[in-house]
Amino acid sequence: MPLDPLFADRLHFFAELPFAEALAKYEAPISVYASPPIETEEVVIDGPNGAINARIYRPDGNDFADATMPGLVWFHGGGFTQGDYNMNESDVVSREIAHRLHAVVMSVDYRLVTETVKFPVPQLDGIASTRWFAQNADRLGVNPKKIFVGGISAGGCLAASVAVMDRDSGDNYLAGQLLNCPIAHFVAPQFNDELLGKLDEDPKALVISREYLDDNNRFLVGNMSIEELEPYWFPGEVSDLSSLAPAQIINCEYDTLRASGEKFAAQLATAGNKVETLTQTGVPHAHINRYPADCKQMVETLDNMVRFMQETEKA
Amino acid sequence: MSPVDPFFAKKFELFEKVPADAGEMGWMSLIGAEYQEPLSEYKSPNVRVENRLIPGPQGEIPVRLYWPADSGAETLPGLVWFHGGAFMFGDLDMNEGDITGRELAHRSNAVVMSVDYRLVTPERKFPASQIDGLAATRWFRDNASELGVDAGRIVISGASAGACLTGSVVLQLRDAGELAGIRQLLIYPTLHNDLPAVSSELAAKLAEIPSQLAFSREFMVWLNGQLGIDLADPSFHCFPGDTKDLSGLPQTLIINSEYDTLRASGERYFAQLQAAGNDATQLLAEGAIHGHLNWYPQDCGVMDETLDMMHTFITEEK
Repeated sequence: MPLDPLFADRLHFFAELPFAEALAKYEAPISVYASPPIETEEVVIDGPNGAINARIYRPDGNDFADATMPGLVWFHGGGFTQGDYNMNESDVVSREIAHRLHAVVMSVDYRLVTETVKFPVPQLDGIASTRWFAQNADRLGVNPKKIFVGGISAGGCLAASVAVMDRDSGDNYLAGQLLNCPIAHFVAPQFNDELLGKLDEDPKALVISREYLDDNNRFLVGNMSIEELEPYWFPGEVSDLSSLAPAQIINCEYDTLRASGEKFAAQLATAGNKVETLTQTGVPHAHINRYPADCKQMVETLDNMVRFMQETEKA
Repeated sequence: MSPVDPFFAKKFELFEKVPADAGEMGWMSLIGAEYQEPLSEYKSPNVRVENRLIPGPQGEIPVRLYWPADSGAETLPGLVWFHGGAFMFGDLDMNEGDITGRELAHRSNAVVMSVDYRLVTPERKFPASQIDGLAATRWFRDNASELGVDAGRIVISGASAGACLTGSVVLQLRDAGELAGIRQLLIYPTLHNDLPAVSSELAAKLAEIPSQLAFSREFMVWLNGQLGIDLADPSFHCFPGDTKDLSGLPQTLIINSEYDTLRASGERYFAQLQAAGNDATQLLAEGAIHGHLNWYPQDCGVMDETLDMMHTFITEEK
């Protein structure tokens, strides 16, 4: 039982059903989600490519008299081509963090990549929404020394790019970046024997291959060259990674993207940044796209994110 | 953060003789005796030792009591002590049991009771150990005055699986409303059925020690799989870290080993205790591996340091 039964016992669906049906059954919740006491507000932010939709979450009944709460701008995953801010890894994560940290969380419905929309459109939405959040910190009740950016999978890629842009623009709004099972590289790093051993045991259905990543990444960038895209580029390909906001990277044990997350963590550390790297045991990619009551490792990950934001503050 | 304690660095050289495929247990038959061998003769401090059988709900429980030889008439702090061994190994005579008992009775001027709780066997699973642990703790508290113990100053403690047992005894006492005078002390604990997240900092430390000593998560899953956790009633809190409600627990000190896979569990439990609003502290036995109380304090510097950290907690005035 190295992979948690919550995931392992449902892998058979992938062998039996069309992918979409199998995925629905694989991700089906066990419990009914009970949100902590959170109030939400839909906001529309001006971006260089038009309006950006986002949702703000804050602890219920707060009068926002003082700008004292930590703030987190959060990006869902989905390979930059799928997903929205209603999925669990966006909505549930935002509710839980706002409650557990007593914080203001803004989940961003950034523009996805399509046949005609390419990089760096998602990144431009990411930086515009982060700037808006920082510039409205006072009205949102956010402590300007505790503004974080974070995301999962492709959202982790986006969050890391926002951190690079935050440095390059001189904004320096960010206290830290939280990257959950991020994809950080245009060219996926080789999977080492330890990782391949983990994925060889059973969860083949969960393997995100280097070929798939390669195809998807080419689709994301279209005809743009590396030179044109930098620094809105895959953060692991950025030449200068120095002087970035402190990072927490949480990789998943049974996840090929761990190769990218681990490599990016090493790159950040080599460039002199503060990095905390954790491997969440027993889980595949995107284990926080669940409910905390169903997945104990999701609780652990939320707790680790909360702790990082409690401990981290901009100088 | 420190390099590996020189005592263990020297011991690790023995593993050069062990074939890579010997596994997490196989090395013991090859170099186990040499690995365990002390450097010097142990000279016990002056303590009075008595073996007793105390009553338990499923039969008598053997315990060993240690008193400082020169204790006067005043009552002393008490320590209930559970050795480790993955719930399947270990006894009162192992160093982690007996040497710890002697040293702490002497250093802390305390009465120590080391408990020979029932282990898990193929026929007997959880919660036999937890039933014995709770019964022994209650007996110690209820007989405090006869034992010369101050019932308001009792520390429940254990190492590794013994720390897991400590955690479940304390949770059982909480549920029963019997925590007055109790504190808990967890030494290189394992507290979760499944290993929590591992930091790259810890992984890098584990890469420095023989692979057979750096328990893999798969090995821990296999070990814990022998214990019968699925059939045990949740009210025993067999893996305390898997208990959802950790509120209302007593003052706690956790001492983790730096070069120890199970530090992931100890650190996670510390965060859980804090999040639940408890008074918890965490210390690091620097340069230490899992199970470092299994030698002699005069041979192994970090064993001596851990005993001193325990002593400070036991004698702390609240």
